[in-house]
Amino acid sequence: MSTLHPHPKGPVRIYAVLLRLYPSRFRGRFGAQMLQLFQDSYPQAEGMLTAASFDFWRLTFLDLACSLGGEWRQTLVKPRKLGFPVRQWADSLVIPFTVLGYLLVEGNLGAGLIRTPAIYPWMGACTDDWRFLLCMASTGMAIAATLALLGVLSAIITARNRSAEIWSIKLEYDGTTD
Amino acid sequence: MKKRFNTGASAAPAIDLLPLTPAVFYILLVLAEGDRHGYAIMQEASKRSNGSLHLGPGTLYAAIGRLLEDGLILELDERPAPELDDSRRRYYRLTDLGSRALAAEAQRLGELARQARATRAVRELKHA
Repeated sequence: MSTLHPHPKGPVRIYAVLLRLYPSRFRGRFGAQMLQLFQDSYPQAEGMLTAASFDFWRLTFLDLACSLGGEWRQTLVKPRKLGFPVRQWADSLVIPFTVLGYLLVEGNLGAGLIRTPAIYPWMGACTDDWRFLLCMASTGMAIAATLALLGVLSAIITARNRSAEIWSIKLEYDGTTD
Repeated sequence: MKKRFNTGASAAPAIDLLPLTPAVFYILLVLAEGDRHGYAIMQEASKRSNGSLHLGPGTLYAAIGRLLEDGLILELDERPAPELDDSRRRYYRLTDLGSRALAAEAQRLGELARQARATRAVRELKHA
């Protein structure tokens, strides 16, 4: 009896969503190739036992966790080796954003799960299920807001770097730099 | 064979780029054998390291991005064997600077290994 291996559209879609976590510049440059590479390597794990598939996803998430930090750092803290004022404020904003995001998530989780009635007295009449849902919703919003801020920052830096690169290429071409 | 325009190629001597990370060392090692695409690099690096090195898409392309910026490798426009290969894949090639960096790193590692072998602790382990 032959075993049919379905085309891994679902996992590829999941990975395509995960790729959105990378800075737009990196994603634009290598996103399609990374997706292709994921698609190429996925069936090997899929054809094996479930444990192998689990291991494949474990390695994928590990790879994601290892490379995400470096790419965001490259984008925000060390933008393309070009000295701009934007680099200074990127340096100064990364830590506050990270701390703010962490406090929002932790604060919401803590407030929702432990201290809700004390912090939000108007929620006293709510059931535990509603409190939990509200807590999850506000945590989600905090994460989304932090990611959105990072995304906007990344987009601004990418746009600034791109225009500066075009300028430097033009200057080199015109022979106006030494 | 045409190559893509690379604005980030560095003129730094190979020695300035050392030490290389294991991922970068294996990527250069694989490309020293010839032009390869990402999937082939990933497979060969895993094979050469006896499975100890796992290069996922994120790690691989992050390293490739930096190697392109430093001018150690370049991205090719043409594919070596069109009838056999997938046109969606991008191929990479080792540059002269990349070859020199690889040789310098191999020499550095060789020297480290030589010094380690000269120590009593390693000699005793070897005989045990």
